[in-house]
Amino acid sequence: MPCNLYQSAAASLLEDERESLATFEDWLEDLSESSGRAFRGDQILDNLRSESHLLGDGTWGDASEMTEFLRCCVQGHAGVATDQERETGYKSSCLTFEGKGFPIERDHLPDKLLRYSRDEPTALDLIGRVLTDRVKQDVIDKKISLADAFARLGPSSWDSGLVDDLRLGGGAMVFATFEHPAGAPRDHAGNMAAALALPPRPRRRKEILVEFSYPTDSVSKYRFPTVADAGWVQEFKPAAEMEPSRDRPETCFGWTRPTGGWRPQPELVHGNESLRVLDGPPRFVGRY
Amino acid sequence: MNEETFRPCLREDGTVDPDSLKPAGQPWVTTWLKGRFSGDDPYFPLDKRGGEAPSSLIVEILEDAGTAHRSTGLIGEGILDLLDEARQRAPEIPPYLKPALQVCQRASLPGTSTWFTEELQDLAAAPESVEERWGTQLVKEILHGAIRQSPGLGRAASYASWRMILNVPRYATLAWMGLAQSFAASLNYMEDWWKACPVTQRQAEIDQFVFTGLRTEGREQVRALLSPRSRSWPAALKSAVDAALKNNGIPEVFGSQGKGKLNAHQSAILGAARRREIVLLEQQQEQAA
Repeated sequence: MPCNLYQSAAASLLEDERESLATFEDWLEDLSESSGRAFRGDQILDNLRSESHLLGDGTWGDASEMTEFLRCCVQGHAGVATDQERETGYKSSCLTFEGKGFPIERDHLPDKLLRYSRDEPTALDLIGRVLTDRVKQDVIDKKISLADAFARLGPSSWDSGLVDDLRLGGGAMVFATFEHPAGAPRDHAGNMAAALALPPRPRRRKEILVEFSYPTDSVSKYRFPTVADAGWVQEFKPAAEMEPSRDRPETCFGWTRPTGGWRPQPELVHGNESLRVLDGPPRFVGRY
Repeated sequence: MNEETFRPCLREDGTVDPDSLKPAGQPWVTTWLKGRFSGDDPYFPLDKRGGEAPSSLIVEILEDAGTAHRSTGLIGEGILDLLDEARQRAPEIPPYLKPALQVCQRASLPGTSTWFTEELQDLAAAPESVEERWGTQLVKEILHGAIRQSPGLGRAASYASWRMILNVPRYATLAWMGLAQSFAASLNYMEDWWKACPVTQRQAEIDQFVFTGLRTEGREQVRALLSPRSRSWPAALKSAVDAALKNNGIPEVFGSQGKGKLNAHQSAILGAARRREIVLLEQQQEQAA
């Protein structure tokens, strides 16, 4: 059953747009049965229908932004010939509506944010900048491990000015989390990835997980993460349709839907920033 | 609804099957790589939440396939097309360039060797104009790629270029690694590298060199390989190597650290000489740069 916001947004579309939306939804649902895809369209559709926080700067329940998002989706879907073009159309719609989740008030957040990254090339760049060119090349050549290299990033060797041109993530907005009373398996890469519901990509080589820590005030544009921020990542789950309230702190930001029985982790997006915002050397959590 | 001509296949375990790329054809592979490296892959969507690097999946496919596989050739040609296109667009830096270089740093792609050799030649001849084209950080990324794709083996087309780049202070360490990839071979270029490397970076690079050497060669072999250099190397280089050994709990080879205590007069003379040497070298490096 679609959430209220989705229903309102769909109802606000013109009649021919509603027909196109139905076609778009059917297409998404069919994608789950296609071979060769690393995602399931029916789960993307479930998420889309549950999205209640894509409100832009509107008030709670105002469906204008969501209507525009759906309109953008159906326009990107109509008039193209191949599934690849349709998939690109949805991705483009998501990019256009990145960072349009309901704003999160600063005082609902702690003073420190955490971001967990699997981006090995950025970790290597950071090593090259802060340590030496040889350390980076030795890690590339597998003569030493990334864990060994990170072990040398003590507070005394850390100079955030050296990583000024590296970024927390790849897009305009990045996902982040923070410490909370229920805790998290922060010292185990696989368990932490499961708690964050990071997509379990089948890989022959192991993934890495690196923890970035930075002051909340060093970044801006705190928002609820939405389906538009997540794109084709089906593991993302939109926040429940509950108006954020100071009396119910759990409604004031998003939550991950973990795998493996781990506790959900708070989740938000904010504007991407340079790694100069880090309050110390990143921590190598491990491989999994 | 499925008017597509091609879609790569997954194996039962969910990994990408390199064989499935074989019928794709060069244009499809190049377009796919360009899109993925630019952040858009409709087949294997990038995970923004965990910051998935676009290059990682491609490196994995190449490691899985091996150098002789047809798909490796297709990917190599696709990356070469992107590198050529980026060169034409310079000084604009297209988003796909850095991921393309990251792949070249980690997997052998013989088809790209010529591109890296050309960059090395340009860098050896006129470092400033190459830096104008790419910027210093990207030049370093290119050199990391060249270490794998166009190493300076004795008879390689890139050898002479690497030798010249060894004299450019900011790239001296990367050139040293481009010329020699084993501990033993590295010793042949160490004195030239020492002269060129910025004074402030020397000890850290030597520390890493010795640390890795101890890991890959073992303590006795490292000491045995270093010993014959006793006569030819300058005192400051030997002292730096001894300090690196000492940091790793290994006895000195050259005895330059704790060999007898100098009196105050001797220490003052030695200290002044070293300071003078550092100033002169820095001046030379500034002029060379």
